[in-house]
Amino acid sequence: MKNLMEYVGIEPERVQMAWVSASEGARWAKMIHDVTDEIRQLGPMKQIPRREIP
Amino acid sequence: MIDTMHRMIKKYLALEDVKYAIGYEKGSYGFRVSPSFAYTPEAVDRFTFSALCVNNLAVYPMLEEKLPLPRGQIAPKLKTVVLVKGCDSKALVQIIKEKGRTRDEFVIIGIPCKGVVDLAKLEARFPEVSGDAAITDDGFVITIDGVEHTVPRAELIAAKCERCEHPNPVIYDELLGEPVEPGEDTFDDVADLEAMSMEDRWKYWEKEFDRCIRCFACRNVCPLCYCKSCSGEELNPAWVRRSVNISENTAWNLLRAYHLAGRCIGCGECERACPMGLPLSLLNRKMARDVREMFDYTAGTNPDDKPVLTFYNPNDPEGFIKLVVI
Repeated sequence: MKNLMEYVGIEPERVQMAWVSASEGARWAKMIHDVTDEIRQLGPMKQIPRREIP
Repeated sequence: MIDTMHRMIKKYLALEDVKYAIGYEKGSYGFRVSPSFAYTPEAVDRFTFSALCVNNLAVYPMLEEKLPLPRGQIAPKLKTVVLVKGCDSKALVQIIKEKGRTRDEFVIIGIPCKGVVDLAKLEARFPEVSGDAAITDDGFVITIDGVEHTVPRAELIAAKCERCEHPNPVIYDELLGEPVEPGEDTFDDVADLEAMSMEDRWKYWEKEFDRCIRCFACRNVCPLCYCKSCSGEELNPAWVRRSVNISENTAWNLLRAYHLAGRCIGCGECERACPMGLPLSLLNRKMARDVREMFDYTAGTNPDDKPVLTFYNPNDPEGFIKLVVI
């Protein structure tokens, strides 16, 4: 999936995958923080702008 | 060769457990050849085979309508005779491997294929005439009103045939003709696109996806797209909305490419059927190349192995999994 997104020119960081067990709360929180930080840096997707609803 | 083919198919049609045969017949205009379905031996006489037979007939057994039966009644297991080229046989291998159909439902008549014409190129060269085309060792011989024109192979051949690695059917019950020397696929077109920058790549695909009208021709013509309900049309949840705009078009085309990863056998039918001329093979070939690099697997080439994405191997690449260290 990441390869395909990179191929069509969409930042591959927008899709991420990690293994987190149900008992690993701290790890889960860290993972979510990391991802949101990374996505925030990327900003909204330039490729497909949201359509303004009139 | 055509006579041998007729005799062979008639022999099978005469059997009790054979329902019908799928082949090619002369189309209604131009150079077109259309799929033909023969239930009787007489209908087999319409069958033909030439370098114009581009269609992948492996799709038709998958489109066959299953009529409802009274309760308790089981449909008789009848066989279908299918005429296949090298690429079509790969589609059948993949379908059988995925248990979409079973091997004993088919009588496969394989034809080693030297390549087929690109109809768009042929019709651009000989517009508004009808005729026949054959492929020989020195190129295509196009017959129009009894006059023969010889065209170099490179000028008319379909792109998929130029890089065909399996011109000879992978599985068959009967083989018609002599095996052909296979070529080699280097995936140059994929590498060319990969060499572009991220912005340029998106510009390229944005232009292409923008033209998509989402007619789903690519899906309907694809022998491997045989899901009974397609996530492209599902409404609850609507993975892809119906509106035709760049966002939904991108979603649809990526979805299809992804669902065909490790399954697409590269017959190029989606690209041929696309009314807007999207380079869909480029998407599918990217996935095919990645699968080949990562798992050393090519779809539809080995009837005995398992579909690549359905089983786990401890040596599978795991680079896509993010490591979270706390």
